[in-house]
Amino acid sequence: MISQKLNDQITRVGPGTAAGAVLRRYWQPAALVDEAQGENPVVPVNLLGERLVLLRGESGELVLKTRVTTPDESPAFYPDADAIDVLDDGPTYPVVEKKGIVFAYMGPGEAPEFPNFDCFRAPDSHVFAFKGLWECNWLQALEVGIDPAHASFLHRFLQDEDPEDSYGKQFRDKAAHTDMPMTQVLREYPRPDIEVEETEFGLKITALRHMENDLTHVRVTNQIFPEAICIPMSREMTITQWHVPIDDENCYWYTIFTSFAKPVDKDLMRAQRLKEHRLPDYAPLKNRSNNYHYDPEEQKSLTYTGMGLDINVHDQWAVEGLGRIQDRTREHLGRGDAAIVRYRLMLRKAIKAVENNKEDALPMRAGPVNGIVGPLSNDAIASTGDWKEASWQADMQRRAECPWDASV
Amino acid sequence: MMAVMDCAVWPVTGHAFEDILDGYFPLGESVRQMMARHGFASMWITLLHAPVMNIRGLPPTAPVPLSLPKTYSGMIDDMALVATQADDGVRLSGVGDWFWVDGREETETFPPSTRLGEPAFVRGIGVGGEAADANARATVALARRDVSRPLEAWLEEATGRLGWQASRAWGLGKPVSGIRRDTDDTPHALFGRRFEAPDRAAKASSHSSPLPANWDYLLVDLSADQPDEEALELARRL
Repeated sequence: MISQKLNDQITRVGPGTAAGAVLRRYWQPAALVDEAQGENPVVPVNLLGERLVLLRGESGELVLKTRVTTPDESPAFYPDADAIDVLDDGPTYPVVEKKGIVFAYMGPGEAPEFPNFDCFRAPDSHVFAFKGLWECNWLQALEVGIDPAHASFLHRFLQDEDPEDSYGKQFRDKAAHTDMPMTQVLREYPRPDIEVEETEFGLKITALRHMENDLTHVRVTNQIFPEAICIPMSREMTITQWHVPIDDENCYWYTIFTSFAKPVDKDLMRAQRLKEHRLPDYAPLKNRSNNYHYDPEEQKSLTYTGMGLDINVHDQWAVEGLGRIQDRTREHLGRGDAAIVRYRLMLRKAIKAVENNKEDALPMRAGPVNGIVGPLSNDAIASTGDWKEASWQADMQRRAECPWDASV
Repeated sequence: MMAVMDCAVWPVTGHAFEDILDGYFPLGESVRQMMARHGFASMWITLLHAPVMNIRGLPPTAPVPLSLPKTYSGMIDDMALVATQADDGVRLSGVGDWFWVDGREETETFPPSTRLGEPAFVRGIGVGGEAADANARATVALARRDVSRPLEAWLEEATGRLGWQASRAWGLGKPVSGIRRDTDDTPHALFGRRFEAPDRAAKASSHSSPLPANWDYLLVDLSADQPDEEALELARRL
């Protein structure tokens, strides 16, 4: 329960806003490389309240420029290339291509270095990038991703699928070295103990689900400041996902799927996701206008939400259901929301630091970041007294067997 | 290894900790519950950037409100609190900076009946209220200021007498009534300053004396050689 004014402080991101000033100190996903095909791409980009276009500058490098707009454009408006006019006196922002995503830097001064996260270190063959539109504020989109308890309810499957058919899907793999599907672990142990630890990149979030026979399921996820998460998708892959504001009321999730051992089957991953999204704006086919394809019969027998098997839709419904900007004057957080509480503290500290011109106080802005690796993100099942070591060893084993340098 | 000492420093049961204060209840009540969870008789905590609300006319015992009228919201920018068990709950004192969104509630004291607007992450040091086991290494100590000696020299010596290589100290240096705005009139206030033990520290005494009802500083062991790595890490993070 915070006032609207304090809610505005942490949610609004347009030029001149407090939270926007923080986000502008970091590289922001602006487009998929898939969108910028051809020799001279002209790609509309709607980012941080600005209407931009990605194209080649005079010296041939990709840049982000301001484009001419009309007041009636929709937030994720995606005009044809030949309908885009560049605004000559607008700002030009530098961009870089990284692992399937075009990142832009829209802040003052020198752009920061990229940390050496797994998603940036893995070879192109082992990563795949995609994005999707959510019609809500970026902060509520992020906060569902740092709530480890939500998966036991929102993503509850009343029947488990065959883990052999789990490729490219969240939570369908077996849990750790057992034959128990992750969906069963989440369903049967819905009240995790949650530990949150501040790190040099953000937060390490550990969810402990204490099982029978003195065993504990350990799930390690991460918040990467300011608006990304890194979570396990399967024993093979992790998800690094940014929640990037289009404006105050809409955002895109950008994900880099990172595979440790085997190259990613990009065609399959893309096809799975294009079944759920339309081009060119990557809007989800299940959405508020069609009630997310809610099916009460499915809800009785198959899923908690009755909205199909794609967990992205569940999250989308949950965060869009809060309204375009969540009304936090009516919010009641508990201690189970530990990561959300810690994240908001980090964000408010960062807002204060930017206001006081103390940018060195921002995470990953004080010095070299190429030593920041990982982050560790996995599921393990261990003896309750030994979960820390077991979780570490599980990640180390996966990294040791990896054909690219995933050492930490 | 050591018992209560005779130099106005008392090793006690307790430890550095991190936790989350429940939101929406009066601050004093959330603090009381936190102390009960940990079994602390007193504690020092710091809060940063914690939203608060002060709803006029809402009794402290009233249920958590469903929504927040816009004019009663504020923010603790930073606050250092000493909490002590009392017969009627908990006694809070400390210093801090805070503001109210509407600007009309500005006062020089912060009522403990103010409710947190969200759960708040805190770091602190808790004390169990008993002298430390003479056979165990204490990681927390109470200290009463020796006004006849320079603060730095005295706390360095105290660190040595505790058998520690280094310490960090917290305290306001003088009694404070209630929660006041932070000003410059607490010259002996310490907010985690580090002290090194002298090379030739006096040996810890086995002399016993009762724990003090009042203390000026809390000391935490920052020795690199302490057996509990987690306690050291928490002390560093404070």
